[in-house]
Amino acid sequence: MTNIQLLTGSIANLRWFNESYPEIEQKFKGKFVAIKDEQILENSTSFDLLMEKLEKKGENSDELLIKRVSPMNEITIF
Amino acid sequence: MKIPLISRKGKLEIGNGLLIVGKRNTIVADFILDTGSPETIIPYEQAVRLQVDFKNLTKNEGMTRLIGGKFYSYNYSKIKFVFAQDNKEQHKEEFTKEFPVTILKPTSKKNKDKVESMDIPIIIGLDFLLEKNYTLYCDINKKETYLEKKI
Repeated sequence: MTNIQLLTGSIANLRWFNESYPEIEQKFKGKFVAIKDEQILENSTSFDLLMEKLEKKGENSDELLIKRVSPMNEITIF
Repeated sequence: MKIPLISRKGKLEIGNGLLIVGKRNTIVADFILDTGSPETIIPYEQAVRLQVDFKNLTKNEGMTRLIGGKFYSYNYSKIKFVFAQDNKEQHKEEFTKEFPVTILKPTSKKNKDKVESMDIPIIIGLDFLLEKNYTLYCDINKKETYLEKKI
């Protein structure tokens, strides 16, 4: 996949993630999710486990948007 | 050249996605802009995705503390960030030996579990804005936030 294709996909996935956050939060609160084609492809309680699951599925995790679904009322200050 | 940012949950995130081109692969990622961070930081999880070989990296002296976690830090220069501009065209920024990115690795398994739950993003720090000559425009009320670079 070219950089342009990856960027275009990531733009769509990021937008979908932000717009769908309330519904995603209800289902996947506290979990790591892998997003592909504006859908949750896989989820797990830890980053490492998520990577293992994706590998077993034969998915190229490089091309996926990986996000943790933090609760709406949780704020992290860096 | 403008790179749009969005404000979400009190953080400034890139609006149009981001790629990181590493030595071995290219990964999709996202980042926050943190003007309180002196350095541009790649967290351990993303470094693993980039297949960074820690054995060949020299650990910096001392430790870094971030949101309660302790980290070893490494300088890394074999990557490029690829941004989407407001016109959807891509723009690359390269990290060099003179201007490396900082990779943070938790000092222990206990620390790793602790900081993983906090989901540390890729952090674009002040050094990036200074070194790469970006200007940050930020009017949260008008929802006008972007990075601009004169080319």
